[in-house]
Amino acid sequence: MNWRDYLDWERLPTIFCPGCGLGIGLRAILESFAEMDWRKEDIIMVSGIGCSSRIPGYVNTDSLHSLHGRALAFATGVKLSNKDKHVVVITGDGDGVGIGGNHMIHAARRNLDIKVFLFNNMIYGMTGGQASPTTPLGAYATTSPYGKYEPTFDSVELLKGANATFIARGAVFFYLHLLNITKKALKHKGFSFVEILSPCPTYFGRLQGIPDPSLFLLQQKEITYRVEMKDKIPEEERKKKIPLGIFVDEERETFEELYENVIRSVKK
Amino acid sequence: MKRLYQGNEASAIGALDGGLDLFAGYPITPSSEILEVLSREMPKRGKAFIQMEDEISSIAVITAAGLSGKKALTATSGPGFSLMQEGLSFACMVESPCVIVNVMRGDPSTGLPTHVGQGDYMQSKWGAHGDHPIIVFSPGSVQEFYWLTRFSLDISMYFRNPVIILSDETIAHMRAEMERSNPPYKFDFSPLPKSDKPYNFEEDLIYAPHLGDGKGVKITGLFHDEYGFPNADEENAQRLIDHLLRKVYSYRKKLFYYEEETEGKDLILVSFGIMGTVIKEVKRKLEKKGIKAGFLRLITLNPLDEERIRKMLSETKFVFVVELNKGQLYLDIERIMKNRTKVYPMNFVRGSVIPPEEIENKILEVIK
Repeated sequence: MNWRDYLDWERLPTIFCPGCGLGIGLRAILESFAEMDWRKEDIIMVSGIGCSSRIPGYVNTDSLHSLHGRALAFATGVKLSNKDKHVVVITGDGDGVGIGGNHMIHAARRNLDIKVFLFNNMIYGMTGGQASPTTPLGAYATTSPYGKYEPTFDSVELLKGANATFIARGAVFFYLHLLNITKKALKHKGFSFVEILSPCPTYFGRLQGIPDPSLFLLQQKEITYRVEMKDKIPEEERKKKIPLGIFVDEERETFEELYENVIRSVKK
Repeated sequence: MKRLYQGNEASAIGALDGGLDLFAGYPITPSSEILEVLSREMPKRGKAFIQMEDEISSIAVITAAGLSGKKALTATSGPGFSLMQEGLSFACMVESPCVIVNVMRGDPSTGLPTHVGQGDYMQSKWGAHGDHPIIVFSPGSVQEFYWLTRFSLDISMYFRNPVIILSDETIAHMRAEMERSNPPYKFDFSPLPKSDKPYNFEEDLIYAPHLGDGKGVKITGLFHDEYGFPNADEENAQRLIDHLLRKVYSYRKKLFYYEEETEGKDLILVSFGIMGTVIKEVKRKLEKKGIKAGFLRLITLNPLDEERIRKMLSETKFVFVVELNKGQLYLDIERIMKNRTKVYPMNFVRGSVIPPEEIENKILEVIK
């Protein structure tokens, strides 16, 4: 399979703004589908509401563009009803850890075999640039005109707390690094969570005074570091940056396996 | 064979006998026994059961299951039902079959969790945002709770639409004789035309591909075209919403179930649920006093066959609408009758079933 075969070409171009990172992230996901040799008939994409949640509409698999914050809840129903299919969730920071945070942690706890890609653009893009739970301290948004003063969610730490079995973070600027992560996320058996740092030049960039999409994308280089290099970076510097890489990759029985055990033990 | 069953247990067994594939729910009094019984029985049948983190995710799970071609159910009560309203509107929009049992308790708010109420009549019909087609049934006995749960699974699949079973605490916790027999409600389940697309805005009722069939089915809560892709075109929007409402409302006569004795009566009592059963006893008591009393017990609460109701209630002098709320079914009946007959609201909100004697005395005061 070629990654292009998963695109619904009739529905292109996308509604995404010029300079948006979603297209790059989508390509990494589709290239990973191809690498896994997944048939498009065997994939069901599920999303919530937001810019990133429009992605499944441009993919030619079965897809469910659901309610704001409820992607993981709908994906749970899709997986329970389609045990043999690959269920892939596309969500954003507002959708996945804002309004939908509760479903995210419970899906991780259950270790359902679903693959979650959370595009973090650090802002509510579709509604016009309001602050999200991942908007960095001090950053400007249409609802943080004096700079964000609330503490920020680190979704990787959140998912660690929820016992997710695969947790990683990539950034669209480092495409090959991201691709390596998305491939591993698909290979993992159980709940995979990948945060993809994705620039929103239209709102986040412009409100920080960097409206040029290419300059804004370059910034990903400055604000991130590889988790493998952790010990080589002074702590003070590290605190200001976002780690990239695979943080958790372990095997645990999935919800499906555990429930199958129950069925076997009680079935007459 | 008849046996004693608790109402909630009867509903759960009705779902099992109706071929339930998936149950998702969250504990809430007074509906929790449905969740409990199905947690025990579903794995025995190799079927899916999941206790979700809340009611919002519960309706999401059953909507997704319905879209995947599965018979899916959840059970809740007022506060949980309120949380489900956004999901209900979505399920109507994407045409997902699913069944929601709402065991009404004393409300508003946290209310009287272990007591009976009928305050969700309006919410079940109009609670979700936007014009949406909804089918609502209400049982008047343990036996009927069983039949309606079983029947609703098939109706929801046929219409690809959510069906609400509006039960109440008294029926849910009452123990009564029940038989695991076929639902007696007449409905013609003729095979539907097969479609390659997920939607057809002209045909209304179709057999469409499901999520997981691998046919590239797209589903969205946005206004969409017949392929399920977002479409904000004005003409398309009008066609979609007309289709959705027509799909259910054109069946308003065929889906209208009720029990009645209305011919040649001087007064008629109207109600639903547990009070629908109580008014039958009130009728008997009034008859003993020589008063020609009748009753209309609604099983279908939406869509209402308004023409039929008008016909049944036009010839009488008094119509009494008895409910455990401040007058919700009353508003519908009054609107339907449009001054043809005098309609009296008879409302009780104190968390208990009202004894027939009390209703009888109130009626005697009005008609004397």
